[in-house]
Amino acid sequence: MTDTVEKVATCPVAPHGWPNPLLPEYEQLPEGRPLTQVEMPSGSKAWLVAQHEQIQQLLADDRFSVEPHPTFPIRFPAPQELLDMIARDAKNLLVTMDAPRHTRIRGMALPDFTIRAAKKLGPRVQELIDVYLDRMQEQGSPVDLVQALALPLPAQVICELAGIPEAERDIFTKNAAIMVGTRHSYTMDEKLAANDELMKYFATLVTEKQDNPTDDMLGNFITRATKSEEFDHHGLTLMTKMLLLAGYEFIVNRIALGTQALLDHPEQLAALREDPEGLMPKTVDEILRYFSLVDEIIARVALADVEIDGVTIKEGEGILLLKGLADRDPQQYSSPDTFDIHRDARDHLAFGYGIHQCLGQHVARLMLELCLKSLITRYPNLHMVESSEPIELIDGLPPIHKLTVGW
Amino acid sequence: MKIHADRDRCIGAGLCALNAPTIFDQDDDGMVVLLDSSPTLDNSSDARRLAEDICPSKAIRITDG
Ligand code: HEM
Ligand code: SF4
Repeated sequence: MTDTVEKVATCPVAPHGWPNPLLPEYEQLPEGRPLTQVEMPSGSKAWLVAQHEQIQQLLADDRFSVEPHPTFPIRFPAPQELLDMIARDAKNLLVTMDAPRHTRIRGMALPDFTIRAAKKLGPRVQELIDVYLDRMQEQGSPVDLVQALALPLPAQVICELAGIPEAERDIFTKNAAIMVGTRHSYTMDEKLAANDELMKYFATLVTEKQDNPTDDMLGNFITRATKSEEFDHHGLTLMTKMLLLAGYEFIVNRIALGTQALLDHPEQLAALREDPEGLMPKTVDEILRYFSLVDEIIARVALADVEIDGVTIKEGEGILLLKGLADRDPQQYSSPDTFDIHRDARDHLAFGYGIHQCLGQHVARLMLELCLKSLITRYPNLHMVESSEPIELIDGLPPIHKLTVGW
Repeated sequence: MKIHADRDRCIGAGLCALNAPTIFDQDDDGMVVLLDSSPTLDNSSDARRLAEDICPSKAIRITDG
């Protein structure tokens, strides 16, 4: 049925001016959300997918690949050198590997990302949260919660996962913050310099852990991966960067945005205070659904012709899975634009779906749960003083915004 | 109702053990372990939702009987 597509639009999902479910432009989706064909900057064809059910179906289909491919849908005009570099690096990154290699490599990291492994980390995460909240207290009301908690806490938790010694943590936290910061705060050169510095640091970290294995997530992964001989040293350095930074800005945003959503809905916040044990898991899923940002697009390329709902996705065509829109799909959720911690949102796509579904999801959940729980129990009178609404998208970066709270 | 969990398909997302801990566990390697293959009716609607909507690798299957 591809021939009924009259016009191939230029891909609107570009790094500038992306449609965003938090902004009104996303209404530009055609009624009924049919698969929509678009042309990528390279000239290749791809399909926009915004229906929840279709995204699940396509992400569970092993005829789609994440590996470099001449017509893989890349959302920006990329010179050949950059494409070559992406292709070289992709071989070493879990997110851009297909099965069966993906299955082997993911299995090397998985034992340290289980529910049990995340639970074991709980007391340490709580200690760290308490340190930041103590500092907040000393500083006095009001404070910017992004700087006081959302940005530093996940960085410290990642350092714990990586077994980075206290003395070396500044290298990580400083550069990671620059890498996820907006271009209003940092220039491209500063970002590239931060990336270089981190890569240098990760390279020495890999060597150290190969020489003196440590019992932490990264140490265990490096031990297993070194034994398997599947990576060279540079490959392990790239994997380290991915394991540590894949979800950093995502979790920073959810801590800030989730707090903001609760403060915006006082009745729901009151209900959560009444029954934190019972409602927290649902609250976390609803935050993830509601802020499943469309900027975090998942892309794949078809390795064979695939039929879906009367449309043929041809071999070599790309798919762009707009999970942020799908998590607001009225066919899946009633009143999807309403934030409601009482709904069952467990099937949200914030962490993706299929074999690449977020490896860090239990650690992310843990951070979100403990941050929210600590904030609401410690500050019965927590309220918003100022927030940067509407959430501003700068150069397509997800919104790390300011959230000034008082108590 | 009978529940089947396919460890070869499982990708270790742990969502089954998180959402229905009386029916599923996640072992130390991250893979699904079936604790109760014939849960009581009370738990079974959750199992169906897990199988159909939540498990990201379609590793959980439900059959009659
Ligand atoms: C709320 C926070 C987070 C969100 C919304 C999120 C989202 C995602 C998504 C959508 C994917 C799938 C990408 C794809 O299919 O192409 C993914 C994969 C991944 N995430 Fe997360 N993530 C979060 C936190 C984390 C954290 C804290 C970590 C690590 C400590 C992490 C590590 C990873 C890794 C390693 C992968 C690749 C898995 C694979 O390819 O098999 N994430 N994440
Ligand atoms: S939810 Fe599915 S993929 Fe995740 S652990 Fe359970 S069976 Fe495995």
